[in-house]
Amino acid sequence: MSAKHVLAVAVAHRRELLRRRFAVGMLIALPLAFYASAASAEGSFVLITGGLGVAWALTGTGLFVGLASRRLAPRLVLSGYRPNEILAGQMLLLAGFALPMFAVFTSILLVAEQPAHSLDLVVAVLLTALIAVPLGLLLGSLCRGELEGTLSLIGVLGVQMSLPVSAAGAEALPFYGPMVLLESAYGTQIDTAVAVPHSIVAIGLLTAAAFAAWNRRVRVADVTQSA
Amino acid sequence: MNEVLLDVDRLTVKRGGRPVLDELTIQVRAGEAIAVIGENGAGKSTLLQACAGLLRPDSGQVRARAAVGYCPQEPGVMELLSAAEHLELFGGSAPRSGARILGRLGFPRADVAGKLARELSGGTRQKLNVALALLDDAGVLLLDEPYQGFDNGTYLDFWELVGEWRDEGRAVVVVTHLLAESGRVDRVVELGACS
Repeated sequence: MSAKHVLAVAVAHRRELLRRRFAVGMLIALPLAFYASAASAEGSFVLITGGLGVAWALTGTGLFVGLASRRLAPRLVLSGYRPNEILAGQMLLLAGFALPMFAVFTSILLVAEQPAHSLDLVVAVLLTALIAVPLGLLLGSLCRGELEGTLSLIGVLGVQMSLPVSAAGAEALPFYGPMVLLESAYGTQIDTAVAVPHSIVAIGLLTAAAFAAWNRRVRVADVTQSA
Repeated sequence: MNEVLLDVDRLTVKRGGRPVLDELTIQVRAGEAIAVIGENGAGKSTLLQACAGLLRPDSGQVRARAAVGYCPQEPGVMELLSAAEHLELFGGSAPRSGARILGRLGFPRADVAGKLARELSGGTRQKLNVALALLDDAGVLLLDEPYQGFDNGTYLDFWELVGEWRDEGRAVVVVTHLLAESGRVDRVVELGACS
């Protein structure tokens, strides 16, 4: 894998993202608005809404980065890039975007909610960011267009936020680990031992799936090979 | 006789179970320019996509003996990057040669860094689209109706360039609807309803 290629893709997407000020602003403002509107809710829902807000912002950004490069990616491959370098460049960009998002959401929640277990909250938001990056890129590789991608994003995160961690099948969802930690951060008596390992597995599986889907999406046969 | 740079051998591509290209065989040699014509749906764009490796043929094969440059019908560009930023992304260490290619295509110099792709006129975007296919000094050029949106002067310049690329020893394949330009190429390949 060429570091130069990975960096070039990250720089190109960073430029494009910075020029989509309104869209990026909305991706950050919407989860904050959800969080603000949940302020009067009972129990851990407020903390979960705020903690998973990073997932809306980063999964949405990953989705649009993936879709934006659809047309260009095969041409980049023809000019010497590998599909994995393009996706790695997109991940690098999103990781850079994830850091300030993590800082903003964690700071707001720590100050406004004063959780019972602050460390659980910090780890939950960090894991949420790390899971959201490959999830967004996976949706960007799999979905046909922006409408399908947006509906899938709403579907995955909507079900995740409305399904309690104690419900059957909750473990099958990608943000189960952060949800458990957010419950604990609120003060719910819950076993958190599985949260980090579950999240690591989710990150690994989503990353592998994102690379597989992307390679399938931008596959270019090397017609010069058999010459 | 010059070396065959693009060898399409009994190529079959099906869409929805129906063959769009059926056992098509074409050879394009170094220093040769061909035009591919045919009605809508005859498989012209499909042929170029298969030659670029973007489509997996159902049977047969494509072999290229030089780097392939592909210019799709729809400009494959990032809307919020300038032409200079595209050159940086594609050209890597050779952005100057990219700027020279844009200049040769008549791309306005002020727009190279000054406008984003989405702010360019259709014809100017198309020039960027063509330039990106040329950056790797490709020996095989696959151009899918690359002149869309060109004004008359640019259109004539484009065909002059096709002649130059041929004289440089490249194999040039141009998909076109315009039979008037058939005199500017060495051969015309007509694709039927199922070629």
